[in-house]
Amino acid sequence: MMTERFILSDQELIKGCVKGERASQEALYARYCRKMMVICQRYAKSTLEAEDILQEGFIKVFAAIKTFRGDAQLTTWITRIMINTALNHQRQKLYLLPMVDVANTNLHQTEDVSLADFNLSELIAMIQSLPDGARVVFNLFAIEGYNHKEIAAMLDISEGTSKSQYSRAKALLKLKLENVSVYGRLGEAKI
Amino acid sequence: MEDWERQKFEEHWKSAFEDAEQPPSDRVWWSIENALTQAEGGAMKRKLIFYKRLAAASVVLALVLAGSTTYVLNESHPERAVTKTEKTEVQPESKTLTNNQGVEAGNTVNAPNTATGNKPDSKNSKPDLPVNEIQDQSSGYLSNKPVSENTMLPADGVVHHLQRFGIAASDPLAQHYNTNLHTKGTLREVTIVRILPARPASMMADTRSRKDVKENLWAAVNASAGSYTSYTQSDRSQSFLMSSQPGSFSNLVPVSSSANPRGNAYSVGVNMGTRLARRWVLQGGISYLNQSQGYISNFAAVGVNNSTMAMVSDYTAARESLTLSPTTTYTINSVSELVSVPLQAGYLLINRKFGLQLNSGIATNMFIRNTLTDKRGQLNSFSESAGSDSPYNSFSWSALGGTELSYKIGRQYRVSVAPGFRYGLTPLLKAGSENTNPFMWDLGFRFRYIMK
Repeated sequence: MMTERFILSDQELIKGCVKGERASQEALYARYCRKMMVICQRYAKSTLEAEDILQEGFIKVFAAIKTFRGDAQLTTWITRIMINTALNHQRQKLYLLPMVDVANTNLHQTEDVSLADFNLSELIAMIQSLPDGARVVFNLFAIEGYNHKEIAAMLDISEGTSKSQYSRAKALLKLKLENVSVYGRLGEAKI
Repeated sequence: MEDWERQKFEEHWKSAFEDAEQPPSDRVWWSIENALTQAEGGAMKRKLIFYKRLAAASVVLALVLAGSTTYVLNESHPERAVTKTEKTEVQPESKTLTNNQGVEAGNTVNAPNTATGNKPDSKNSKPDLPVNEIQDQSSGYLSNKPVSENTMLPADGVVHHLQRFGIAASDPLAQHYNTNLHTKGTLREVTIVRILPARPASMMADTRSRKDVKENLWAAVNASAGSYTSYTQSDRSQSFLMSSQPGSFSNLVPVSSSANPRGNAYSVGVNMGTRLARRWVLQGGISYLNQSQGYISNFAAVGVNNSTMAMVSDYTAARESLTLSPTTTYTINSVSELVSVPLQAGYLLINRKFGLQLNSGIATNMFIRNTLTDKRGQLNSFSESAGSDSPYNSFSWSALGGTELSYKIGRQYRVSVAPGFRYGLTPLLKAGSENTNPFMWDLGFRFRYIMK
């Protein structure tokens, strides 16, 4: 079953999805769900919320797949839909807690800690522990590669707010990395 | 240096997630597939909405026409026999009258001249009358039987008719008629125009059809297709079952299935019809009925030779001996096949070249089998016929209703479109299977051969 799925090209899967063939939809989902799940987890506060985003995102993908013209890669197109879905999910929270400039980002600055020492779940947990605004900005800036001007437009905030939220996220992550690196490993050693 | 470090920090994170993958739980695809199935049901529903509205409009139209026809017929009944011409002959001297009441509808009879021997002018009076009527009236019609002033029938008749319109005998209008009828010595002819029932001509029986075949007996083939709705308990809440592998309690996992309440149905069959009365017909026949419904399931049944078959909780609820095996979520097409024996009474609202008929009746349904098919084709199909182990009832009954819009082709053929509904009076599944009665809207096409 899995072999059959991966024999089919993206174009063939798209054609099947356009026709509404359930097998093609399932194969497309199986091909991209793992990658998209990580994206959703980075934006969500929990795995359960990430799955909700993933579900909503794929429903949008299947509904809009007729409009996919092949200008970009399918994975890029699906990623964009997932990010937009995640942002819509987060937007309500961001409106309730509007992001403002973090006046003092003079948080504890430490040396860079190598991420290679951490597994994926630990990294995701660190990002999920960030405040909502800082988490979204961090994802968009550091991982997706958007600049602050684009982020400000996407989230309807000022560029300065985006920058300060990012600084806050970065400082908090460094702190977490350091703490986990020192206390986490010590804790493991104790056990 | 700081910029470089910042870039380094971002690159670290970006590369950490570049090819990262994390499997979501099966719940996600389950929910996606559920949503897609519902969306597809919505699309199908939109496609069928036109036909449903057409069917509903036809039924409403038929009911309105039937009601209004019945009302008008009842109201106009006393007037239908009042087509008559009354001729009054007045003799001022003797004040005797010749009563010509009883002349039948549509005939205007010239009065005989009483002054010339009271003989009827047969040339003028007889040709328009049937022979028997002339004979029946031989004693009264031309005999000039005198009547007393107190029994001035024509005048009384006029007053009587005026009273029917709420005009009293003492009314000046009534007096005027009385006076004129009695004082003038000339022959007067009072014609009461027939009051026709207020029915459109299209609803009257076609007199021309007497030349054609009378449509007293016919045979027809029919086919119909439509939407099928059956709500089951598993639509609303998942019924969790446990899959047990003998000797291993660690393999206990929750399994469930969910039904899409909307499906499709079609039927093909033959029927016979006969006319019971001028507007009443009786139709019966036999038809094959196929009802399909979608399910989503995450388990399969394991057969004796370890083959896995598509399975839903409707069966597991009825049969605990099934060995189940959890699977990834997949969709099932559940097809129920039945033989239906309908018996319907029909009322002909319009019986001309175009016909409109209102049908109502009952159908006895005999369950043949239910087949569960994995849409992906990975699991074997599971089929179950009627029986004590089957979750399906061997017999069920449905109420039928609808209309039939027909058009007559030649002398012996009639084609028709028949929107209608079929409501399950008894459930298809046995008691305890937690389902309710199915409902079906359909649009049928019939081809009728008129025998006589």
